[in-house]
Amino acid sequence: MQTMLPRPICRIAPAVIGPVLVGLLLYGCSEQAPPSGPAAPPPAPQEDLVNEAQERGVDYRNRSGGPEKATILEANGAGVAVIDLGADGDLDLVFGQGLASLKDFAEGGGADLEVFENDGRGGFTRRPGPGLKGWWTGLAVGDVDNDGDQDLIAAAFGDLWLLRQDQGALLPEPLPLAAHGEYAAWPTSLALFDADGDGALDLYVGLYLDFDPKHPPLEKLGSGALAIPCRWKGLPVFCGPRGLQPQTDRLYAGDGKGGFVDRSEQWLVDAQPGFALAVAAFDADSDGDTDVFVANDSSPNNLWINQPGPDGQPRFVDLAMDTDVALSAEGMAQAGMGAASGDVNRDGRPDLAVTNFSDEATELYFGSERGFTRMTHRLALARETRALLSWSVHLADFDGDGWLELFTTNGHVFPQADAPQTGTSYHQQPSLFRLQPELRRVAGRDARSVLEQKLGARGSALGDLNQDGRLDLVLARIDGPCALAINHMGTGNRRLSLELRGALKKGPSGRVTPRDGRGAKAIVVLQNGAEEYALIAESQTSCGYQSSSTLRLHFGLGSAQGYRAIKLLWPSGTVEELPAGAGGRSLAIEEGRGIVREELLR
Amino acid sequence: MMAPAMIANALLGLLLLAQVRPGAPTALERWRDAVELDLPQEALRDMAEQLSAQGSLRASGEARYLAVQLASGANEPRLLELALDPAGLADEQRVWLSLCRARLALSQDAFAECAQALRLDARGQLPAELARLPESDWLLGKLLDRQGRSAAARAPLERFVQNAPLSPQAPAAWHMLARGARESADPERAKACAQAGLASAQWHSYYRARRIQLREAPEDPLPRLGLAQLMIAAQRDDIARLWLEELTMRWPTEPRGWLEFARLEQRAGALERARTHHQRYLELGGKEPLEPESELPR
Repeated sequence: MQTMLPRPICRIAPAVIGPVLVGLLLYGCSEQAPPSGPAAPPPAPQEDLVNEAQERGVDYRNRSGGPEKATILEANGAGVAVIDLGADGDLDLVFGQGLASLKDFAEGGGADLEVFENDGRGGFTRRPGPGLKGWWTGLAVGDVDNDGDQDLIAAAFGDLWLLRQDQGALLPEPLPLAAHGEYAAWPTSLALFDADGDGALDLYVGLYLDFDPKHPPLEKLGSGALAIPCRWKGLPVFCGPRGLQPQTDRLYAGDGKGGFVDRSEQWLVDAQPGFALAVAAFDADSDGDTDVFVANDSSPNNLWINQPGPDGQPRFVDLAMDTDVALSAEGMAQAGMGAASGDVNRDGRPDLAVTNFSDEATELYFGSERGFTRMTHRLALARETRALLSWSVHLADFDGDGWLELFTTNGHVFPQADAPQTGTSYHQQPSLFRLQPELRRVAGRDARSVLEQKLGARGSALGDLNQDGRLDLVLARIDGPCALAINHMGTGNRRLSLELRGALKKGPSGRVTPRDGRGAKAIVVLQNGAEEYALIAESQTSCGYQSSSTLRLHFGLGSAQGYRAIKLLWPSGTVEELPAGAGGRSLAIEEGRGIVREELLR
Repeated sequence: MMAPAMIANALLGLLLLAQVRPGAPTALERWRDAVELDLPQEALRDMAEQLSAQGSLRASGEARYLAVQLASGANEPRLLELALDPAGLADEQRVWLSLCRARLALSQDAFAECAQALRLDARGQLPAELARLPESDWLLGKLLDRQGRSAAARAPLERFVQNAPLSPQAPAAWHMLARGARESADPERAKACAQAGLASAQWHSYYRARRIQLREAPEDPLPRLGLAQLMIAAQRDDIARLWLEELTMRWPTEPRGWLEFARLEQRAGALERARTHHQRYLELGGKEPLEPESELPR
């Protein structure tokens, strides 16, 4: 165990159950009062995730239809991506956007993507967007043409675009996206990953449901005596997703030059319609290739395990039911909104977090030999999250102590949630939980903490925005200004960040590591006193909700000054080991060449 | 232990939590409905009054149990306190308070407190007064399942689906049994339990939909017909008969009501009434024959 610094932790006594406590437990507890003393100058930011959007120049403000949320399209909000534009090594931002009125959209209106350029220290300047028009949803970042810079895939209601990066500019090209019968396809979350091991990024497109913006379903579904009113807890609300027609996800093969061909019929043979909202690509079965988890809204989740088909092409098989990640513990389809993977218990296997609707828990599954084991109730996560409607989710080491925390954006879809006796609320603040050795909710202590602001955020992306080695967050609120959560946690802990680059050469597994290193895993071996332990992370960008996070791997070293070794598992099957080194650095590692660049973290 | 055939038969058992019938519902029936259809405001309004010192449902343990479910979900600590107050409960009703506390503890992921509320003995068995209520088995099974003890959860969950096969919790219990069977490498039992769970979930989904439709269109015969058919499927001909009597009396020109009524009477051995109802159905333009009497199950 690392030496823990004093932190604003709300410890919740698990032993007492009573009428008043039920209310208290549902709503957590507040931070401790600061010590009294003489007036002091304005304090430096505390150990916290501090919203610095305004002072850092990010003035994005989300529009997502009317405030009354009369239709489901208006309630889902937008995603956000961190992307290195100009290949200058810092993370720039791209936000999805909608319109203030669904009617305007139905009449042909649309918004552009919004772009903000990083000055290298976490200050941002708005740049012109690519000049597109849409109601934007999901974003995915990756080097789809293997030319060394990052490109962007952007999804909008009825549209899918590749924005190829050329000298810092994003050049749009439409991608094929077949309509679903008479309805436009409604893509939500996207994942770029290498499905077939050819070194070219492929694209998973989560699709939601049939919706006609010109004639949206209102008030009830069905007709006559058998019509079902659209209500939640007896309150009239927008219709869907239940009762509307789900769409079937698509999987495109990339050619490594920016071209994509729909391979769903070959690679996703058993795909069924589902209300996909989140897609997380990761090596769920630790066999070296990339699998895909899909969180579906009000329908069973999918865990697409990548297996070789008879023709040598990938054949994804849905093992969500067999591995117990499809449904709630009680066998009910939940309203899955977000998904993320990471090694929470440091056993070397990926664990999985899935966010859900209010009255449903955020689920946490530990990877095990036979699949996944639900830990939600055993860690008391259900108690803490049942009143929340959570969207984006990240498993990341914010405080640098070597253990992953769980972060979620929260906010209800129904403004009616603010009515009395619903047990929940519309605008909700994000949550951060420490998970080891036991669940502890982290309360904000800085006045500008995102953990204390009722943001009602949807999408969020992880990335080190100010290049200090700590993972920051960009949060896309619904109907409001975004938040930039700059990480001031774990000031005493050392960090290590790794950028992995593939060699684009076939390796022992017969596969090729993509140029941007996607799918590669790094194991960092650490020693703390007599204890030796290892941290593992996988280079992927698709997690959370409709968003794209950094590809760079961030490790918290705690009080250790450096690492004993770094082991790299490349998708090509190549395994490399690097000798001991110091922490507090950012390393670029190329497959077969070792460390090619090394910088001190600020 | 349950064989697959028993599992299938258990679906057609007797107990139903919220038995919607024609006529004005009692307060308790409305509360059950509010819990099952997630309409907290419909019941929360009068729960506090009915559970107060002068309230007519203060002495009902089940009323307390329903109130706890809604109050905890709606974050109503005062009502929760009222529901958990032992005053006003006769000794034989106090067992429900144990269930209230166990349920609350489970909702807080507080396993030890749940076990304590269920008053489990050293072997993990329920005391007799709790064992007589199927809900106790449900809570115990759920507790063990959440602790990852699926093998231990099997016995209480099997008892629960046998004793309360039409409970709204039955699909969940079947799901847990299926998962436990998978974990103990018994794929055949896992499959049978999963199928039973699916059938149970489907029945409840229709039952829920028909009840909502009945609320929305109280002057329409179709939701009543649907409820009658669901009751027939669940072998609750006694409740189906009530729906069909009301249906054929208020909407005598609705042919499908007469057909279902004819079939019900035929199964009950009232062949003359079955023929009369079927004749009425044919007069209204119906075309489907009754099953030949020789082919009726005996």
